[in-house]
Amino acid sequence: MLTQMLNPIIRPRPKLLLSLLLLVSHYCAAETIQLRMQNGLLATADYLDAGDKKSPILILHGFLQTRDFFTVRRIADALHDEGYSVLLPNLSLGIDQRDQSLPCEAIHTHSMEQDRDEVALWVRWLYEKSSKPVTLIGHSMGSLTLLAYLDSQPDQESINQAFLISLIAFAQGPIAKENSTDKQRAEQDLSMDPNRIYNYRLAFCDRYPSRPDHYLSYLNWDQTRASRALLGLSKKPSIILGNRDNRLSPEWKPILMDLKANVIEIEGANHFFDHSHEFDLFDSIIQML
Amino acid sequence: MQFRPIPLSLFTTFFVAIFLLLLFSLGRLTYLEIEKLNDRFHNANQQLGDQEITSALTESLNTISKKTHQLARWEEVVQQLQQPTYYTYWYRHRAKQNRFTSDYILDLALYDVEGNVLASIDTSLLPDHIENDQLGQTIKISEHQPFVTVIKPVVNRHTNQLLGYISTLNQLMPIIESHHFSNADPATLNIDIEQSENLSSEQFKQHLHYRLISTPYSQAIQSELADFLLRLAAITAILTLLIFPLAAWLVSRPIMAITHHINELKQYPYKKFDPVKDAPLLITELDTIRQSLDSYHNQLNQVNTTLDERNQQLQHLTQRDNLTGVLNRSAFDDYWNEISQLTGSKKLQTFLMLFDINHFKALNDSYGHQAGDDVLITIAQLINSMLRGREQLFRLGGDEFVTILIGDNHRKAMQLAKQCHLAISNYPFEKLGILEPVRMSIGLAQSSTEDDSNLNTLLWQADVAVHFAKRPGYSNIVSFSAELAQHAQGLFSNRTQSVVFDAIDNGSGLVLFYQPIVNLETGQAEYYEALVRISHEDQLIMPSHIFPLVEARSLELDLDRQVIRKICADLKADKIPDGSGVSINLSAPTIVDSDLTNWLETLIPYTGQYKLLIEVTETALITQLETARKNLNKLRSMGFRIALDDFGSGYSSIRYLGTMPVDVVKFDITLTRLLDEPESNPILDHLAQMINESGHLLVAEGIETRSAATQLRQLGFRYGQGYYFGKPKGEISAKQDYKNPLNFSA
Repeated sequence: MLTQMLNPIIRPRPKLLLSLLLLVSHYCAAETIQLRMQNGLLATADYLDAGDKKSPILILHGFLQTRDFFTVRRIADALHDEGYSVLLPNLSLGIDQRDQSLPCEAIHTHSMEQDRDEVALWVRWLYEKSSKPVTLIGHSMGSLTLLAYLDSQPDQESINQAFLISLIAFAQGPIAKENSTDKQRAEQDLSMDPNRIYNYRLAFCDRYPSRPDHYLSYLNWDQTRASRALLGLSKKPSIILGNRDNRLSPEWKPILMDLKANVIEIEGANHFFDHSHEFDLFDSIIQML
Repeated sequence: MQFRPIPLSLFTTFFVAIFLLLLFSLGRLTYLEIEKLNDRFHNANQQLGDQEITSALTESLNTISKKTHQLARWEEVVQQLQQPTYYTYWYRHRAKQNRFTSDYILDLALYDVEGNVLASIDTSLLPDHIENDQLGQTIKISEHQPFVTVIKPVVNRHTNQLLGYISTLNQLMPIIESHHFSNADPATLNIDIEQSENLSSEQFKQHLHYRLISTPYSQAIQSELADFLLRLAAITAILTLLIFPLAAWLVSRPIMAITHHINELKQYPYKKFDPVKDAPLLITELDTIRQSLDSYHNQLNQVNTTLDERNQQLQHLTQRDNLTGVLNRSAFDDYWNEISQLTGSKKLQTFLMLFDINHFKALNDSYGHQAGDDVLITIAQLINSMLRGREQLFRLGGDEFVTILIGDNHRKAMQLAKQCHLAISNYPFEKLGILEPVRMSIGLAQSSTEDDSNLNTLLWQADVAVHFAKRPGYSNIVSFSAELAQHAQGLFSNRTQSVVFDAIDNGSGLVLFYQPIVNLETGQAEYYEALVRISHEDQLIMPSHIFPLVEARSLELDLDRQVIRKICADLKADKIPDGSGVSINLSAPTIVDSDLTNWLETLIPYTGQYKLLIEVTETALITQLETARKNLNKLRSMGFRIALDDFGSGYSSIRYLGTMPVDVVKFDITLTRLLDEPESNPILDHLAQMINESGHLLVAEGIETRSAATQLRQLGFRYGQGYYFGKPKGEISAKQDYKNPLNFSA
């Protein structure tokens, strides 16, 4: 509420500041960090080093995207310009040194567990690098992946705080019913031929070729699983939602509110916080850091 | 070579043919130029088409290569090469259905680093194994369709580690055809061989053929032009077929009409054409020409008519004498030629009768030209009235008339001449104001049947006859004869003429013979009359030969001047006896000449020693009467005496005696001969008495006998002259006494 009240006053300063920083940021070279994953693939991340004065930040992209997706890239650049060291990993999604977004129709050989483990490796790397607890920022499914990571880490010493932007769960919204059907099919496929590739529907993908176990690893992270994870977290993350985000199911925000989660709603923003809402998003993050 | 005129229709046809030929030639030339231009366009388009095809082929191959390269860099390809577990699934569902592949990629295959395909697929068009030397791009042709196989290595983007190979099979033609062509027609692209392997792009281009897009502009222009030329040719042909007869009808017809009109003008030269009433021609200019021709034609006709009339008048004038109305000299010549042709070889007795009025000039001068003209008219009428129907009267000039009698004998001719003469003699010329009798001299010349007398000969003969008819002692009607011809020889001799003219000119040969005038009372020679003779080669030319020439040439003044000089010389040489005198005959022109007194001044010194008389004839007095009177008065005042010569031979001289300053009257020989006619003596007696009483001295001429001299003395004549007293002689004897011949008592 306070933020919203201050917005008309303080908005001009961050905007001006952000613009100046964006200009300067062009002259700041990003370092690409490679980490070999457990499956042998090399995963890469851009590391925007700003020193160790502030808690480093890891920003994770959305489903099948890369670190160059505009929402995460702009937040990263802005935070880096604010003096934060930012790590922007690309989840490998089964592809060595992946730089390109992965189409829905591509053969998906990755799973939520692999994604979660890659996040854990990057957090560890960042934490080791900066020796400071890491602030996690995720967008969309990236937020869900971070939630899965936080859920898997009972000890959260290396974690400073988490911002889950546009947090979304699988099997919600209009395709929840279809996902339920596919889940049953996947469970059957898993019993019959778990190594074969099947076509499912997942999130915004109408065709999602994947092994059934991999498919189910994502699909299992539905609203219920996500709610349970939130409830179990010792450090409650901040959840930033746009009140015009039509990708979220109508019941999702009430669920989160019921969970007493720290939900910050940006007026007029959609799922991607594009246009001027990225400044609102940035203002919210920076205020909470 | 002479140019032959061609008919209008042929000319028009020729003109139209030339016009059409030129028009079609121009059309053909234009069409050829457009075709040439089109060829140039075609060649230029062909070059552009070749460039387009080459460019399209190169770009297509680049596109294929680029696509394959993109595929080689695609992470899913890398994923398949690293984790080929699901390669078959990927090949079937992803390989050709992604953002890097296109519709032109027929097949795609991935090979490991050894060149073995990741999974052998039955439907694949690509080989299961590739060699390292197959990398790159090759073109093969199958069933006239080109395909491009591209094999590229797939490497790690970060480490450049070779991960395997990718091979694509691409359709080439659709890519080429997808390019934009401005000149080459992509729909006509074709390959001229059915099957081939491993062609380079250059080799492939040799087998790639196409046709040019028919450029809209040139094709449209050529097509439109061809259509236009065809339409033009058709329209021209139709218009020519339609217009030519119409034009020929419109243009030729008026020209033909005017040609016909001109021919009509030529055919009917005297017909009058009405330029207004005739149907007008279609063309204004031609109609104007026609009207002008008609007008000219009519004017020409009028001029011709006028000329004919004038010619007739002129002929009349040229043939008629204006004054008398009789035919003139020209008509006489024509008439003579006409009768000569008519008679031809048939010789007919022909008489030429020449009429000449005596002393007509004196009449004319005395009574005026009007009176002279009236006399001529009257005489012409009188003669015409005497002539018979077949004779024509001609006026040769002056007072000469002539007529020709054909087929008459001499007697009849003479009879006609006498009738004419009588008619004139009996005519009362007093009605015309002429107081003196008018006499006519008639000469007859005869063309005999034997000789070929021509007109000039007859005229000469008649002239000679008239000449003698005028002379004293001859009848008024004289027929030409050989004797007359002899007498006339001097008159017409060139030699004589020359001598006479020399004498008149410079006095050479001129001699004066002197005949005495004797005092009938005393028997003494009172004075001598100087008479002209011309001496030449011991012969004398007599006055009868001299004066006709002088009068014919009007040399009276010159002769008189020479005579005065000669007399002066004779006086100076004392050829004239002292106490006597000399009478000088002066002609009429001299009497009235203004220089007369100047000439005679040379004789003035002799007037005291000699009696000097000037003899004038009646003729001299009646011409310019007043001038003559003045001159004579002057002469009298200078000491000369005036004698009237030949008194009684012509007109009535009594009038002159009253008005003229005459001292002496010389009776003509004709009067002297009246002595032989007893019945005439009283007239002579009274005449002499009257003249005596008027104070004039009388001189009788022609005294040839003693009795005549006696009678004349008794009649009151003071002086006498004649052969009885002496003929004219060149020398005067010292002293002559005529008392004895007169037998006068001393």
